[in-house]
Amino acid sequence: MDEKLIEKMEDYIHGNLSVAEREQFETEMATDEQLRQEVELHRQLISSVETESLRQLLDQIHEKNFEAETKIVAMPRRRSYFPMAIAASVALLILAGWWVFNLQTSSPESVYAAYFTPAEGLPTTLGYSTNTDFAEGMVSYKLEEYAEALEYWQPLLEADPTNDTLNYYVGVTSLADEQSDSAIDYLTTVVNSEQSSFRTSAQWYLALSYLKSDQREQAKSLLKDLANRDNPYQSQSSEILQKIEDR
Amino acid sequence: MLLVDRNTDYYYFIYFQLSIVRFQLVYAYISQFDELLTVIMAARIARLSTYTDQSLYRGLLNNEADVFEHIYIENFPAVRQQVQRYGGSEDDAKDIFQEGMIALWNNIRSGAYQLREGVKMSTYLVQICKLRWMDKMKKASHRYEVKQEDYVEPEAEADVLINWIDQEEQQQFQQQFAQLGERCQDLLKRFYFLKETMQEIAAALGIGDATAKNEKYRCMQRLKKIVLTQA
Repeated sequence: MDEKLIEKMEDYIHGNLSVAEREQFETEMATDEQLRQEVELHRQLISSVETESLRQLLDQIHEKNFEAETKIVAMPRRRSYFPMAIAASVALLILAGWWVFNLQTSSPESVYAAYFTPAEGLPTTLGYSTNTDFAEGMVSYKLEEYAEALEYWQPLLEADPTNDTLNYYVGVTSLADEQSDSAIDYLTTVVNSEQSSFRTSAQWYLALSYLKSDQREQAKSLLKDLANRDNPYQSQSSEILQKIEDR
Repeated sequence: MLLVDRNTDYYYFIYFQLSIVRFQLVYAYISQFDELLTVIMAARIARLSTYTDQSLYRGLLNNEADVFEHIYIENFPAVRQQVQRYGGSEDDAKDIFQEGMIALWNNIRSGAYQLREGVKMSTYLVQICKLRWMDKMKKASHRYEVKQEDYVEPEAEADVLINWIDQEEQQQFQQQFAQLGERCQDLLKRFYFLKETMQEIAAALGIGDATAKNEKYRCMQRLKKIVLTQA
């Protein structure tokens, strides 16, 4: 089902069509049973989304105005535990913080987790007519549906195995999807292509992929290079180097 | 029956107002802010008088959060009292009342509910919640003891019960909607419920208009897929 038709359906459902357009659309629906069913399903979905939004709003209103009331009435004696609860949670926080900090300074995997954020996607627009699958994959990527993004991009990459943009995004997506071994393959291709504008970023994500799969030496040499020249990852690279050398 | 309801409503209203005034007086005494008290009272009086049934009706049509909140605060206590009187719990009352709010809202949108001379919207809301609760008790009469004389045969409000959406029914969609992920949920709520324009949504999410439009389309497609595969 294409976007133009969906837009038309929504305009019809919301009553935004002109009289002539509406009559034409209704004639189409009268002859096209499938279209009629699509419109009905779409109307149902919109209505469910609205009802669900209202249900969530009512829950919030209830919680704000009536939950507090019950709690105060039901357990006024609990008040004296409040300072103790605070003390306990502060202690717990400190403990948790210490633990996380400790983890960060030890295993490469946790260093990876602390530093990995998926690369920013490319802008996608409805008018992306040259390569729809690439744009579709990019939308999935931005919605953090990594497996779905890979489904769109893998065939494109098979058709054009040296394309640096594809290798870069498939690499980063694989890494986000916890497949660091394939990420290493794709990103190495980008790092080896001298002219690619993704080269520095690919190097950074390749280093993180090595950390993730516990190959410390390979990660180190890439990070040393990044730490020694001017680039957006310079300070983060030296930080990581310190952390993994500390051990 | 109606007359009794009105009286309890009225007494509750007075009690509610009195307790607020008392609270505000204490607050003003403690903090010595006489001016603040005047401002609060003025605001409260202004707020009370701004909502007529017409403005509530319009507010519900436009999905205005503060109108929902106003109706909730004004009517939930009465429904809770009714439900508890007939053996229901606080949670039962909450479920029934929220279902009733959704039913009222749906009936306004479909045109099935019209403002009527001499019938306040709040009376209607409390009445349909009560009918629904009676109906439920009748069906589960082994669980609750129903006195025959307490059961009021539904009249004009009966048709609302046909289109009533139970919390249980909504639960399936609730789970399906949750599978969408935060971003899609936020986007769809903004567009379909809050009636924000695509431009406003794009600005709020810090993305371009066309991207927002494309994402909304994709989110709807995904929701459709989830609903169809789990129907």
